[in-house]
Amino acid sequence: MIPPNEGMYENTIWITSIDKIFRWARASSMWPQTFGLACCAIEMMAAAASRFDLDRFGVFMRPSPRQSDCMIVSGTVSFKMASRLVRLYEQMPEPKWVISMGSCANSGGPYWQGGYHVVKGVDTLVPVDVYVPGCPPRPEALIDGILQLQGMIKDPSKRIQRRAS
Amino acid sequence: MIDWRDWVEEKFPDSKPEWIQEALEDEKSLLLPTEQFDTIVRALRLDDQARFDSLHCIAGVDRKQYIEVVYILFAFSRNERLKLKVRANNELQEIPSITELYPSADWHEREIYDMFGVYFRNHPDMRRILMPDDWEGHPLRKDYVQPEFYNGWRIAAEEEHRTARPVN
Repeated sequence: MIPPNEGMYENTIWITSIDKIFRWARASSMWPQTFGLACCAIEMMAAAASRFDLDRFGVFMRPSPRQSDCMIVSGTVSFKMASRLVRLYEQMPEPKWVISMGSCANSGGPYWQGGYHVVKGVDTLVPVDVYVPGCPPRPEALIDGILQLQGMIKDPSKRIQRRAS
Repeated sequence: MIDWRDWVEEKFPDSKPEWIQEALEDEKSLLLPTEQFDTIVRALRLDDQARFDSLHCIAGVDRKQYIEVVYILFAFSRNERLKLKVRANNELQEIPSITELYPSADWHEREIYDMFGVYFRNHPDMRRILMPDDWEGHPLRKDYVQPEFYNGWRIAAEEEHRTARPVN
């Protein structure tokens, strides 16, 4: 019989709450759906591709809303697309988060006045967690937005007030 | 080089085509009567002398009294370009479709219909192409009045969105 060494279990057993484990798991494997609408989608693809490699953060694009828990609204949302967007959002399983990427999704962008076909902010349709500014935002900005969202998931006190849609 | 006004007038004596001088000096366009438009374009497309075998683009212009539709035809054999204009000035705002002659006109005509409300007679599939099917009005017309709501969503931005919200 060999007695366990002194300090053998150091840094190998952690006491935590199940909530915290779940939050850590959700933040570490956030799967956004592949949902590009305009030029922002090019930047989103660049962020997911090898140069910026979103896979490093556990972010991995999924082709179905059923398998994803984050929606990156990347681009101009027209009123024709709005019903589809809401439907895709509703098809995602809880818990789910939304990143509004770029000026068009944030506020309507250049279509703010006189844009007869553009939704003036995707937060009028679905609750948004993170707004990424830019036209279009660089991949670094999107990655920063994703990191902010991961921080919010890990620590809910960081979450901003969601605007009622 | 053939003067296409004379050519059209010779073939269709009652059509009364006219050259319209554009802002640029060497830029002219041929105004054709609405009713005979498709038969004249058929001649320009199929006649051995004319043979305009490509349709570059179709554009719509709202001139307030009428909606004008501009067609640019191109003949590869002579590297020649011809600009046609036709006006939808009757009550129904109809223009004969040329989709049968130039298949590429199909979506262009649907877009003109979507944006200006010009109806293309004999088009195989005359419906909106960009806007939702249940949209009210044709957005690029000068007399377009933007509806307040579409499908329950407000179209114009709300005043409260203009002020910045505090983020904690």
